[in-house]
Amino acid sequence: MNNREVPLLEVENLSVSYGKVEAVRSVSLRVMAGDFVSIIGNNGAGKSSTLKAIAGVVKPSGGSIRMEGKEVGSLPPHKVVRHGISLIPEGRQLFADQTVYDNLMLGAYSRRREEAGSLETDLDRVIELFPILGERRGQIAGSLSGGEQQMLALARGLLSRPKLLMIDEMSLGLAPRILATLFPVLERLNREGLAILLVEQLATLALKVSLRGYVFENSRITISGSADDLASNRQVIEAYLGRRAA
Amino acid sequence: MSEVVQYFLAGLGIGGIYALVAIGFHIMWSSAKAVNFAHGDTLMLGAVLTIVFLDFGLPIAIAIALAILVGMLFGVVLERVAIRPFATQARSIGWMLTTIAIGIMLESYTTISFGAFARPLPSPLVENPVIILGAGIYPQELLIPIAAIAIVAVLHVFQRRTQLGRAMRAVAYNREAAGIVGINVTGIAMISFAMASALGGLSGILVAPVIQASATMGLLLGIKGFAVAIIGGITSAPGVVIAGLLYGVIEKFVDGYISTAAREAVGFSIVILVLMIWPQGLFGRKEIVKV
Amino acid sequence: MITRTVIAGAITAALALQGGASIADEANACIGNSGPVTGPAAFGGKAIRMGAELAVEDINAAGGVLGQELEFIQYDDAGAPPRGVDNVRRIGLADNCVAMIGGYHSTVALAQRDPIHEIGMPYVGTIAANTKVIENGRDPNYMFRVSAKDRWVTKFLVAEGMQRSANNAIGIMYENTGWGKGAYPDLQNALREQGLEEVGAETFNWEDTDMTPQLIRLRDAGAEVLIMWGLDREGNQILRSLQKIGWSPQVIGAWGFAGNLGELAGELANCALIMQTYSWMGELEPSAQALYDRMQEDFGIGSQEEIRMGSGVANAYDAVHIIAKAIEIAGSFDRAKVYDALFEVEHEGLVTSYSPAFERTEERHDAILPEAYKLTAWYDGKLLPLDQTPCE
Repeated sequence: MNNREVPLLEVENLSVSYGKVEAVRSVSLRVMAGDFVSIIGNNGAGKSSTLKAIAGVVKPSGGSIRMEGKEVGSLPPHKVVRHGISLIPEGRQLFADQTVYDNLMLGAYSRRREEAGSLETDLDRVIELFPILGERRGQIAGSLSGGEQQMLALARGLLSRPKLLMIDEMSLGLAPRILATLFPVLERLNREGLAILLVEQLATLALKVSLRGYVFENSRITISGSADDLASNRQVIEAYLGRRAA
Repeated sequence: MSEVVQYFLAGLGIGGIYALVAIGFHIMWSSAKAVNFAHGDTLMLGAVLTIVFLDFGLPIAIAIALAILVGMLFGVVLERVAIRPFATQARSIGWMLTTIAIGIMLESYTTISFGAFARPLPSPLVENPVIILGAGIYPQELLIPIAAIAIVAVLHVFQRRTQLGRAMRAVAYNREAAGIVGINVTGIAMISFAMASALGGLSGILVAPVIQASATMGLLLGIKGFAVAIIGGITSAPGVVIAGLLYGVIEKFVDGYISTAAREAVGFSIVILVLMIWPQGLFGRKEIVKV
Repeated sequence: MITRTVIAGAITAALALQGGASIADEANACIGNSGPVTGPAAFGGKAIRMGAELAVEDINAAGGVLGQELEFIQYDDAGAPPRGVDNVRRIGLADNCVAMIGGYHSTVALAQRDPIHEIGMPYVGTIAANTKVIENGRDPNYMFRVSAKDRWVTKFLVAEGMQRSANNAIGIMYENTGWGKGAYPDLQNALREQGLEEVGAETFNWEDTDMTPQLIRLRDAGAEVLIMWGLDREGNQILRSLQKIGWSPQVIGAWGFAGNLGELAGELANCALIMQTYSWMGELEPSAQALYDRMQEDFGIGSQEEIRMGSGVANAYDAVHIIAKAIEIAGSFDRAKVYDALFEVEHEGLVTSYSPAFERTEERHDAILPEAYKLTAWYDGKLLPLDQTPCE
């Protein structure tokens, strides 16, 4: 990776407050094109809030967020999507009263007219990635199993043709064997060129698939580096890798 | 026997009007989580403007189209000016007051310019009543509940087969998630108000041949339409139509077998009773308020 | 603002304590009016203004009153009683007019009885017909009226109804408001005086669109004549409901249906009989024709149908002439003297011959007797004197 490249996503001194509570304190991170970056740390350390701020769901109280050099920090969520950022939110947040097909189509909502022609191809592609969605096409999203819902959430997020996929706590509530099928899909997507920013409680798993990582503690980034470095970092091991089963 | 049929058919007629108004409330509430309390006045605008344009000599089709267009614009402007400023604050209700205030101003202005007399909107369907099982009813009165049902059916298809329809359902279900997938949530709110007002204008034109157009025609209809939307379950379009038709029929039977004076008392008591047993309405879904 | 109100209140209180004596012995040469200039009944305010201003023109053209030019001042009450009360004080105290003429709404007129008697200014009603406005138990009674009296109107309607019903079977539909509910006992009394009872009485609310339940009951009770007491919009729905149930009784109504019932109901209104004191429709007598010509010039009236509440125009016209004559008889603008002079006025008016206009009984503070009431009928969208229609 060339350090003089313009980062795909550049976050500088980002702060997010909910009323008087500072959830994110002056956080800086970057994601390069084709990168796979993990954010690990305890609950409530500010990881989700960072993703939400990037996605435009919450307003930053300070700092800047730039996507391909353009400032996106003050944009509403639907405009952030247009810049190529797609968030798979915590808890999936599917439209449970609509069908699998409806949810997928909504993922494609923001595509411009030029991209409409390739919609069929992209739909085929996500069904190839997650065949079960093809089988359950007409089913109400709320009736899917947890793993199927996560797949649908991922597929929906992919349909906006993002350059950066942000995933918030994918593993919550999912059995290990399901995760075992999902993480390889992420790896495959990344190999094909999609940059991924992963917030993940299962630190061991996260560091295994990613290239780089950031550690969040008390609303700040305390450690950062390559995934290998973090995995062998003693503090990290003690705090996050030892006590948690992979 | 013909009495029972008379009350039933008349009830469907007036109930259909309540249903049309209630559908508008449903559309606005689902997408914007706010309503235009002056919604009854969109009916008034549709009816009054059609008459005014006819006075100017415009052909009926153009008069109707223009009137609906103006009604739609009213809804859009109202959303922008009276609702959106309050939408950013969680659980704010300032929009209730602003829309009520705008409704009052609109009615006053219309009274001054249109005059206070009710004026007829002619229609071939109110010239002669048809007799069904010994009861007389104007075809226009039957057209109204049929229109309400047809609109719900169209709405259903629209919501399930078009991107915009899906997007409106998505915004209604979960605003935040809708934004994340790329839906312009405030834009959807504006569209839903435009749709509701256009529907209101159309409804006003449908009902004016029966009840006559006047500056105050929207007031009571708006109140009853809102009550019907609440007891039907404002989240369900078929629900509010069923509630509207039922309410109208009950009103007529109370008129017939008890007295007209008792009508409003009985009607609103039913509203209270229904809400005590089913707080989210007969067909409604529990509202999830996200913090 | 507050200081002005306090001062006005203090003055009024002082006057009231004086027992109703006027500020000055001589009032000013003006006649005031409180009426609906704005609001749903604005056509009523306009009718009063037209009649009054035409009369004032006539009087001033003939040299004025006691050599002075007479002025007419109209204030808006928009049908609201508190404003009507305010306007009485404005006319009686600030403008110090010798007299005032009444407005359209009975509710306003009822509220005006108190301030009129506090000030001691003669009041001559022109439209509002509620019985108790005039028959109010005061002595001296400063309320007069050149218009209809609801108690007499109800007798008139009952008499006309009986003529058109073989079995004297009369049904009543009245609006659920102060006006309608006030008229109903008068209707019942009128029937009782003829040894009759109504076969049924039903109410309806404003903005009701369907009266079939009530009408079915009246039909099944055997009514042959339907007396209605309400306004055009609801009258239209009553006629349409009659069509729906296939029932055609003789419809007779008070003058709430003298607005645009014919336009709303079209053919259905044909031969609905409406009580009026005067009609400007059809062929007019020369004096009325001259007035109509002036109305077209001065007030932009187009055709005769555009004169809404025509009775009010004629009533107000006659009322102003009667007041002017009383001032001449009194020889001064002193209100007490003008009050006494009112009982000596005889006048050939538009509506009727007033000989005399008033007598010193409570009942006869009403100048127009029921014999002068007229029956008009809707026909082809126009409200015409009965003899100008094919109706019976």
